[in-house]
Amino acid sequence: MAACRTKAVRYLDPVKLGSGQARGGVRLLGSPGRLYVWSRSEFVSVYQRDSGMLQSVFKLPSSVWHVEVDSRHEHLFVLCAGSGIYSISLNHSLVEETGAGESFPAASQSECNRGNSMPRVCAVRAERCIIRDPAITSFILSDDIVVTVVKEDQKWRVTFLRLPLPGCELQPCRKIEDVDFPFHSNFPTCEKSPETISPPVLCCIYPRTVKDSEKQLRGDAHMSLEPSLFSLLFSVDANMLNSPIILCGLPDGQLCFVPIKYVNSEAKCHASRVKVLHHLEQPVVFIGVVSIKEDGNDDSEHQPSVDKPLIPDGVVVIGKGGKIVIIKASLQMEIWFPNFIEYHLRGPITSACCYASTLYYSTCWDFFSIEFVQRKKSFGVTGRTADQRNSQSDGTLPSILTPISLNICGIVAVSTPSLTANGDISFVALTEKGKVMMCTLPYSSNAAQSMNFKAATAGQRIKDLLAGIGSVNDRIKSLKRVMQQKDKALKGLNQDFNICCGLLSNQEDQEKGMVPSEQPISCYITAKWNRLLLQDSLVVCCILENLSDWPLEHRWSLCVRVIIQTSALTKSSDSTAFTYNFPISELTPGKKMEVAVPLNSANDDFMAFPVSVHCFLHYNLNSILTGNANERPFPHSSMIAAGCSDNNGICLPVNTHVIDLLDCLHIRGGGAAETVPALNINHKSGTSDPLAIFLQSLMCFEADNFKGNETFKGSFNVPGSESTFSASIKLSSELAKVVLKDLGKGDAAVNGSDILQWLFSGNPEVVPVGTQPLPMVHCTAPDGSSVQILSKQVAVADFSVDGSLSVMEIVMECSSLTMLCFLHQAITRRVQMLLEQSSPSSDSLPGFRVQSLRQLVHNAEFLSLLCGWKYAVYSS
Amino acid sequence: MFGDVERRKPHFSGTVEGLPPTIPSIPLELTILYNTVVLSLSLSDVNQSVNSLLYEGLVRGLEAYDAHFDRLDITKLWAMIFQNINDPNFIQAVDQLIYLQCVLWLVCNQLEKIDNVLHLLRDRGSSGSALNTHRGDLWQCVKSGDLLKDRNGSDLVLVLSLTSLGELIYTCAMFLRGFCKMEEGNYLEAVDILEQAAEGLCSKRILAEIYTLIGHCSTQMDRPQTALQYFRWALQADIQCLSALYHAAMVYRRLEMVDAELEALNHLSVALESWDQYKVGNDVDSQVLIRPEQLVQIPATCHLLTSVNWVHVKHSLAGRFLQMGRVEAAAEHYLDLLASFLEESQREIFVVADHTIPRIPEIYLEAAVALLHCQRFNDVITVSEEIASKMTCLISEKLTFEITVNEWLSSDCSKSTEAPEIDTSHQTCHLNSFSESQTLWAKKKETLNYILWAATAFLYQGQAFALLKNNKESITNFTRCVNLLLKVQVVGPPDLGVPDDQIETLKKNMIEVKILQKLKSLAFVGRGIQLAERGQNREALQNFQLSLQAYHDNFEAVYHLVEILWKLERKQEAVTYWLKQAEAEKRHKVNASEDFPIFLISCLKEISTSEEEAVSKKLDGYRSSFATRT
Repeated sequence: MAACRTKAVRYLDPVKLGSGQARGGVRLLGSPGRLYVWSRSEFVSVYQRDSGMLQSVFKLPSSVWHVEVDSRHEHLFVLCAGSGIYSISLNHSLVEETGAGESFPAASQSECNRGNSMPRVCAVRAERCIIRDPAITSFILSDDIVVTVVKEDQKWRVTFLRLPLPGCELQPCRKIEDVDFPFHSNFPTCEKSPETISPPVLCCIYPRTVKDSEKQLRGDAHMSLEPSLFSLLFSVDANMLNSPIILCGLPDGQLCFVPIKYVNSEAKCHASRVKVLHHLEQPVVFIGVVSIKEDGNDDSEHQPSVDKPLIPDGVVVIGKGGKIVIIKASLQMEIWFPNFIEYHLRGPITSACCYASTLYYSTCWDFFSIEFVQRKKSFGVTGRTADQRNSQSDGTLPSILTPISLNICGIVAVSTPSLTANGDISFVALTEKGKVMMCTLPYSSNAAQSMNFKAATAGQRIKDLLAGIGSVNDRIKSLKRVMQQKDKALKGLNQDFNICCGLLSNQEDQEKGMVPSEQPISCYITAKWNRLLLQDSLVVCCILENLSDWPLEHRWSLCVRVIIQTSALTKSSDSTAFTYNFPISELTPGKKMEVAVPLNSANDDFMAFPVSVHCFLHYNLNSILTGNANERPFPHSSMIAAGCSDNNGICLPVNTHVIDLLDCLHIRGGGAAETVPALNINHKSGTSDPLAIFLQSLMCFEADNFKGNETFKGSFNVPGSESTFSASIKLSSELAKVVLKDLGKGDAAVNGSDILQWLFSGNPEVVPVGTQPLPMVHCTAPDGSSVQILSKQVAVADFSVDGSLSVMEIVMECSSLTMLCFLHQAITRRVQMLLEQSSPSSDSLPGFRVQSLRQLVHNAEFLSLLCGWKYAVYSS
Repeated sequence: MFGDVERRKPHFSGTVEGLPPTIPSIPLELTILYNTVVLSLSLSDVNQSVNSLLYEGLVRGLEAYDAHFDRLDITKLWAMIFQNINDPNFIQAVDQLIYLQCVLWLVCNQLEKIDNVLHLLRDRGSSGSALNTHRGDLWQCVKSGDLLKDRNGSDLVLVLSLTSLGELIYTCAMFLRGFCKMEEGNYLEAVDILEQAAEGLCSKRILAEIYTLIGHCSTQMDRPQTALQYFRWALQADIQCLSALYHAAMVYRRLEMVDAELEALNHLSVALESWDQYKVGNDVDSQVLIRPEQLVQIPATCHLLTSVNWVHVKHSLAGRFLQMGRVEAAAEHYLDLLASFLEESQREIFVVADHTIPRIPEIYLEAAVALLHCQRFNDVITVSEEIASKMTCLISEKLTFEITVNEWLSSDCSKSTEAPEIDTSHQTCHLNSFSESQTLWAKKKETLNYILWAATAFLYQGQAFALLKNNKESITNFTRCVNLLLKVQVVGPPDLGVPDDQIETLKKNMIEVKILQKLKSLAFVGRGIQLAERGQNREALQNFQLSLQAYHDNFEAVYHLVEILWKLERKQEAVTYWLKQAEAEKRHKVNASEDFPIFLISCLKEISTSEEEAVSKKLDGYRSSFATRT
């Protein structure tokens, strides 16, 4: 089908492209035959329509968003970003404002190419701004009224303004009325900048009047509609008032209309002047009118002619996502209804235009045409009876639209089509690269075949063919790009799928209790002290290592979720969680990536332990669709809140790690020797029950409180720096052996330093210190209080039936009670883990009272809870 | 001048932002801020940023004094300032800003806040002991400028003095308060407060508006003469206060002073026709920076002071003329109205007053009636043609009009054929399907309206042709009218157990159905007369009978029926009909025709009393002769 059509494409001088999205537009001015093209730069180029010559260029103060042409008064109205609407008189300005020093890029080019004279550049000055409102997103003209649409907080505002009278054009427009109406509830408010959302599409529809003179006066730019559909859609009153209607297609998908003339005739009901006709559920990109009803003429050629145009009897609304709604009048249940018929095409659709019963639309890759009236093939012509014709001319629409490709790519804007003298359709299109082309399409296939090849037209024909080759070349390039993108996306998807599979199967193995095979992606989590600007801070350091065979690409990001059990101390197990997101640019197999997140970000005064850290990989589904590395799903800054719970991605957990105080202790190097005596002294005095110390400290606080001193913040420091708190934990030698096994020292005698080495196995600072193993470690807690841990062998009599038992005792000592609690909790947790690890062999320990040990652990936990409670009482 | 200010504003604040605030510079800065805000108010671009500008200015001032009151409400901030800072220069600057803030609150209608702040201002000086705490006195202080005085001899120039700003606040606050009282229906108090407002500093415009409001209150309190007096003052104050003129006309209508009403409406329509020039002229003048009307914002739902709708005025003028039988004038006004509809570029037609204008097709029909009475038959035909052509494409082959339960429940039906609005308060469980059927019903009713309008148009066309003695065309149009009307079938609701006789009464009560039957009856009569003229007496008789069937109370039909029976020598029948009619007329003394819309009423009485008496005499003669014979 496409092959039998012949089309002609002629390229004009390109326009300068603006920054940002490729958008723009083309307007025709009938009688002198001029073309106005803009493309988001600050220029509006004027071409002569017949010769295709670039005639002049208007330079505006900022980038041009929209242009309307008033053919009656020969005025150009230009909406500029961030300023408002400018009025340019086409008759005078050419003479008035020439020779602005700016050089227009296309100008020099055209000079070289064609040897033409330079186009005149007319700078438009700020005085020409007739409507100052930076918020205007779109506007339209209806006779001498300008209708603008502004997006406010939660609503759209339609404003009617009257143009200044001819003769005093530089006066600002006078506002007549504002009409507000709300966004559709599905529309996300205030999310996107006005740059990214598509502007509202406005369209002015006039009722058909009997007078022919008016029709000529208005020119071809004005749309009109069959009276019955007009009345049904916009009420009979609007029709009888002869009121033009502004149809408005909004980015939130609403299609609504506002009549220009309006009488509130409905008693007592202050109905809004704006009425919503339909909701398209996607941004509207085009509104137009088409003729659906077949012409009653008997001749089989449905050749539209200039002198007898068809009356449009349907409204077409096109959404960006490819939804097409055709509105036509239809008889149902004895009455006439406006019928909304929906179709779906492949989007995204960038622009469209209509002529008679044909719709032309452009996606980025191709340009299509759709016939709404199904024409019978030639065999049907003779056999048709009146009945058949009636049923057909009732305007039955095809059940499925069949777009026919016209092989023109990259069109971002098209002008309204017009009919040439030969009966072809011609329109002007703007491509995303800024090329301006004049396309001529045969209206029907018959006409294309009857085109005869004459010597006189050969030159033109060759030109057309060459232009066609150019367009095919463009098309191939863009198709290639699409293919490459698709290919890349598929490849990426395959990789990501493999990674998912690896991670998930690994997880399943773990859940089943099997020994996990080597994890494809591993994450090693440690706590680290970081010295920055003379200030020590504690960070969680995650090292992500890619052990799989596939790279992790930009679609992935590493999320680190830090859960701090703050309120566990007070009431329920509420917790504060922070999620950090790190985009992964690329992590090839075998490579590592290290990220660090601050641990004490909530409040710097107090930090509660243990902190659990969850690492997971987040896969962004949006990025597959766009396939664009530049469009990051998240901002580059690493802080986001709950970024992983959003539903446009997949989360795969990689690792979870609990960081307790033992991992965070800042080990003091070298100072061990001199503190040993002190520790011993303290140890002797402090062997008493921890509960006693706790109660003692409580009394201290109460006494302080009675004195009315300052409130306490941070940890519990006992007044008088000398005294410290201490606690001890005893570890059976059997368990200690397990420890040794863990450390890989085999059956060697249990040593105090081994136990400490085991305790500090997670602490990254132990390595430099650990060259000289000592039975005691002197370190600093994150809040600055000093901590000492001592491990030694003692004999206890209580726990075993076999008499005295040699156990390892771990004595901890701390100047802060809170830190002591955390430390105690940390060590008991380690011991608990050890117990769980060694539980299968616990039977081999005859007479060992595991129960009593567990009881001790519970007591200790209770103590820490109690302490937390006390902390809560005093800090609140 | 204003443009310059606008351009310099950002430049100025840009320079200030970089510098740390210092005590000597703060009064200057705040004065500049004051002037900036006043000028931007005068350009009437008040927005949120102005509010925050004031707050920021204040905070900056506090910074200079090393005082920080973070995130406090602005009123509390002032209270703090008065307690803590005693520098008179700073206080003076702050005072200026307080008045400005009051002005901004006026714009948002926040009178309570203004009250609070003014109390604060007064109490700080005297600590509330000496002055009595009556609110009226406080406002008097504001008005007379005693509350905040302008500083003399300072080199910081204010573009608007505090005294005049105080007077402005006084007038606007009183105006708003009076308006609120009026909205609440507390007219006496409203008048009192509004009169106080009128004593303040008023522009011509606001004075006229105040008088209009007082006039409106007086009308509501049943004092039409006082109201008229105030409306007159309003117009004297500002000739452009057209709403006063309009309300005066409405008072005249209530007093049934028709000539005065018509004169007022006439003036109004003439004034509205040249309204555009007025408005343009209005924008230019004024030495005053801020006019009170820029500050008071009357809610959009209140139409008391919005400018009056030209269409409405013109239509009520035309309608009144038509009702009074001054058809020539009525026709002229109607033609003006229609011309304005068809005009390409439009005067502001869509200014809404809170009055009902009938649907546009009805205005066309009224115009047709007026033209018919003026015997401008060709114009009638053109206008009717316009209506019919617009309607016929919307009419289907058949319309089954169902009387809904909703209609049955509401005993009094809508008075005119307006587009039915969909009522949402129903007690049906199937709400969805119900609302769907509701929209369907609404659309059916609209289609019924189309049919009625088109049929009326054909009826008038038929009558016009009849009066043009174009017999054939006339019959065609009457037939068209009848055919259209016969498309409608009125039925009761199918599934509800409403008894048949109730449905009958329902049908009778519904205005649309009534109009339908009446039109049918009129069309049959019209056709009958034409047929009779052509000598087709039998068909004519049939038509008259059908007419009576369609609508019982049609005297015209009875008259013609009796005539034709007489002609056909069925005199006995004629007498029975005549007597029956006479009886019926006795029974319904009150004519039901009051329910009909204006376009239908005025074509009802066609038979003059002399004709009626002639028939009466004729029949009486026959009866007496018949009686004597037997």
